Amino acid sequence: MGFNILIVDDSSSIRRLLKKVLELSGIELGEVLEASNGLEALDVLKREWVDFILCDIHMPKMDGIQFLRELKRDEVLSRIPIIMVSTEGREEIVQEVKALGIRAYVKKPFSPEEIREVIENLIGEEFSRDERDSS
Amino acid sequence: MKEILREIFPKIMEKMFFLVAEELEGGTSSQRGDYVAEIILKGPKLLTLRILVPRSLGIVMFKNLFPEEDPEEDRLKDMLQELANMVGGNLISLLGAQWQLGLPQVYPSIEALGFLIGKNPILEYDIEGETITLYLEG
Repeated sequence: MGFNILIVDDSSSIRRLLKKVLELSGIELGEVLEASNGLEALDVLKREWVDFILCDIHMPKMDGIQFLRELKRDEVLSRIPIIMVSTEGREEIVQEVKALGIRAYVKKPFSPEEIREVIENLIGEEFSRDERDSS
Repeated sequence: MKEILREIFPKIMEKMFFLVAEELEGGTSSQRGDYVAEIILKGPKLLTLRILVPRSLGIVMFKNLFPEEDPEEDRLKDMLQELANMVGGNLISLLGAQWQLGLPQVYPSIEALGFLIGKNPILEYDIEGETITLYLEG
């Protein structure tokens, strides 16, 4: 069974691009789910389990920072690893999202290689953690 | 502000759309374009960044990103919104904490050019023989 991944970004171009990068990455994929803001993403997470989330910061209705705060309030959802993918480069905002527990930060514009490397590292860490936990 | 834009814009075009943007010294003032991608930057003052893009260049950008897709109007506009978002986001990243990014918009054709009559571009670039023009107002 492959990894279920949720992509949260208000730009359909970025969602499609990230999906394409995931498909070409060689990562074993389950379902790739999409949401265009934090509210939609929370709705998806009520119905589906995902292994990790790729999330933007600047979005209408509920931005990435509010979304992270909502996840942090939930014991189960707060365990999902999150990679932020955003144009935001201001140190104070990056530090704020890091403090909310994200696992990696990728700044837009990104290259497919950057995204692939970050995801592969994350999957590597998760696998080794799972193996450690089960031994 | 112009220097920051001069630093970030070609990088975005190259990294995201695999295109080389060559600055047009002195400008062309041609104001040719079919779409305006716009984003508002809120800070010590209100700035509006507008990027005038010819449709043919938009299609080249689109095909570089999504070679297997048709450049439908909605998808083309969404891509140009993201271009404005990236330029605006990278600009405020260098301007500092007091700046906020609005949500990007794209206006088509005649409606778009109405914003730009009499305005001087801040930067113009040649990309594959097409001109992309940046305006910063406020």
